[in-house]
Parts: sequence; C-alpha cells; structure tokens
Amino acid sequence: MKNFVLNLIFMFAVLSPAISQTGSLDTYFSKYQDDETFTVVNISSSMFAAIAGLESDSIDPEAKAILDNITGMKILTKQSNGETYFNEVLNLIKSKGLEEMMSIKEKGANMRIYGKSDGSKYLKEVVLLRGDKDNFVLMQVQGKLSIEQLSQLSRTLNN
Amino acid sequence: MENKDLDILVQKYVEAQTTTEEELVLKSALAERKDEYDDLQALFGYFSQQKSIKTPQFVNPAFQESTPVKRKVISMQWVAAAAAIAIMVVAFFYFNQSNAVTSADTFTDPQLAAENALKALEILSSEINRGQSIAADQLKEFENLNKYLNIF
Amino acid sequence: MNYHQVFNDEVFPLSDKLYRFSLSIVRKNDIAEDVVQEILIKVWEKREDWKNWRNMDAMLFTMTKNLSLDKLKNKNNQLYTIPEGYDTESDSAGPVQRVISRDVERIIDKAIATLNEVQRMVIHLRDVEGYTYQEIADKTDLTMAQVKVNLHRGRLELRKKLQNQL
Repeated sequence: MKNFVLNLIFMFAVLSPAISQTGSLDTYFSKYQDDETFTVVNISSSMFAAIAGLESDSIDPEAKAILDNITGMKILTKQSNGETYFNEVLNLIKSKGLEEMMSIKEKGANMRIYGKSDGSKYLKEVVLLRGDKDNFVLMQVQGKLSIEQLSQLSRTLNN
Repeated sequence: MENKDLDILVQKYVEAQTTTEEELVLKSALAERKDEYDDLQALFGYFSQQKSIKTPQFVNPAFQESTPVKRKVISMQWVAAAAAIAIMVVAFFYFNQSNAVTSADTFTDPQLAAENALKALEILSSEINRGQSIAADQLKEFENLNKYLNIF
Repeated sequence: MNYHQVFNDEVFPLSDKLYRFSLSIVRKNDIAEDVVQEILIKVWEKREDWKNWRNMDAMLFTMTKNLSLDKLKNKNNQLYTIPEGYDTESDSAGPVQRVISRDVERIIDKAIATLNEVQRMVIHLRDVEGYTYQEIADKTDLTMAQVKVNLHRGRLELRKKLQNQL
C-alpha cells in the first residue's frame, strides 16, 4: 500500500513535467491568442482530415501528399519585438524533447528549426522559430513529416 | 401424540432426560394443545423470547487496540493517493482545456485552410532550404540537421 | 496465530450469547453488560495464553460465569431481586411457541429470579441457547450429573410456581 502510494506520487512527479512540457508550447499559443497584436493561425487535426478529403485540382499533388500527413498546425506571428519573443520561446522550448535541427543567426535575425523524431526517419513535430527586430514567427507543425519532402515543397510550388 | 406419551415426555423433560430432538417434539406437540400444560407453554414462549433480548453494543478491544492506528495510516495513504490522482486529473483537464482553447480553428473552409497551410509550409520549406545551403558550407554546425538528411 | 482474526471471528461474535448468559445469572442489564465488556478485554489481553485453552468457547462462558457470580456476591442483596424487565423485541417468538404476554413474562421473570444462580444458568444454556448437556458442563465447569440435577430442580421449581400463578 505504501509502495503503491509512493509509486503513484513518483509517477506523478515524473509525469507532471511531461504533461506541462507538452502543454508548454500550446500554453504559449493560448497565452497570446487573444492578444490582437498577434496573428494566430490554428488548423486542427479535424480540419486537416477535411483537407485530406478534398478533391481539388488547385492543390499540387506533392503538396497534397504533405498536407495529408499533417495533423495540426499552429502559427503565431507579430510585427514587432521579435527578439523578445524569440528568447521567450527559446527558454520554453529547451526541455521539450525537441531537437535543434537548424540555427541561423544573421544581421540581427535569429532562425531556429526544431524537430521531434518519431523514432524512425520521420518527424512528428517541426517547430520554426524566427525573430528579428520587426518580426516574430512561431510555427508548429505536427504529423508525419519528412525534411526531404518539406525542402522539396518550395521548389515544387515555385516551379 | 397420545396424551400418555406427552405426559411421559413432559416428565422426561422436567427430569432433564430429554434429548434436544425430544424437546423439539415436545414443544411442537404442546403448541397444538389448548388449556394443557399452560405453564410449560408459557415457559417455552418465554425462553424463545429471551433469545432476542436486546444486547448492548460492546467495544471490541482487538479493534480498539490496533486497528485505529492501522486505519489512520491507511486513510492517510489514501488521502495522498486520492490527492495525487486528483492533481493528475486536474492537470489532465487543464492541459486538455488549454489545447481545446487553442484548437479553435482559424478557418472553417478546408480549401482555405489548405491554401494557408501550404503558404506556411512554403515558408518553412524555404527556411529549411536556406539552412541547407548554409549547412553545405558549414557542415559541422549543422550536424543535427545532417543527421536527419543523411538518412534519406 | 493471528490474534485479531481469532478474536474477531471466534470471540467477539459471542458477545450477545455471553451477555444473555451473564444476564441469566446477575439479572441486571447493566451488570451483565459490564461483565461481558470486562471479559472481552480480559480475553484480548490474555491472547498469549489462548494456545493453552482447550476450548475457547467453553472458556469464555466459564469466565463469564465466574465474573457474573463475583458480581453477584459483591451485591448480595441482588440475589433475589426482581429483574428489571428485559427489553425484548416484539414478534420475536419462534414459530411454534406461543407468544406470551407482558404479564406472563413478568411472572416468569419473578419465578426464575427465585431459582439459585446455578439453576438459572443451566436452564438458560439449555432452554434458551439450546446447548447439549455436555456443552453446558464444559461451559459451567460442572459435571454432567450436576447439570442435569440443577436442570431438574430448576424446572420442577418453575413449574410449581407457575402452576400456582397462571
């Protein structure tokens, strides 16, 4: 009995950071979603399910293939104080199980791309964070993602 | 039962020579008689009523001595367990709720949502490509990215 | 030995029987209650000795008998007091026996009160609780012959008294 309780408390102690971690980015989004100086975009999994059901010729098949594997997307942008928010998110993201995949710093602008592996060659989450004096972008994409496909996308769309 | 037999049974009973079975027979035999052996019938009625005398609530010393201590511990443990569970449940709902709040869809039209998602992905894509081109020059600094890229 | 389990399974459930037994001797509700509560505590405190007790059930009755008799000696004047009327639940008579009225009950109470305590206890154990002669002998520390003699004298006496009054 005592062990059971201890286990339970231990379990909770272990789980609670996990819970708050998965919540942290979401919490960050919800923190600013009602702030009118921010632009918030949220596309839920059910909306992506609806997108997957679309039979539209207007969407490139390759792009469609990527969309079909996405289960959620959140974007938060602001047209000022990008550096402040960049650092805010940076601290938040550190212990979230996200691996830094790319870091570019140039002319007062920071860009980071984080990924969370799904254990195989795909990523189940990609986070883009970009901030400079005048701009802040936080983008979170969830699903079954491949860097290869994503990098191909801009070429596909621009052709 | 013959009167004679009944008399003998009563006599045996008074002399404390009856078996338990014989006493049962005697009682049921007497119950069928009226105005006979009234004293014994009253006695048997009295005896059967005695068994349902109200008895007091006794304190169980074995219970008093050890169980309360044990109980206290158990209840404290359960309180802790219940509190832990309650916190977990609250936490679960809290985070679920915060998800639910943010998951209010920006778009209601899938087509529009798809177009905007693609625009966003395009930005992501171009950033990845920008990073890749830099990474080609500075391999070391982008080890992690390469790790993923090398797989493919 | 799991003392708690033995006590809770074999001793404490006998409380009611011990109470009625004590009541048959002391004839006072509050004294019988004290007796049984004391016995319960004493038995629990002596749990280390249980392994030496040949017959837990008989031991409990014997202890109850002895303590009841002690209480009776301390209150000599109580010996033939008229019982204060037991609280009996209505409609509790067996299916066979005649339900006796409150008046008859009182008469019988008085008659039983005139018996000596040994007669009262054996009659109680036999006629109310339904124990065998051997069980009664074990519980009361009497011989089988003594049990029967006391039963006989008690029943004879009761009949005589009741026949005059009913």
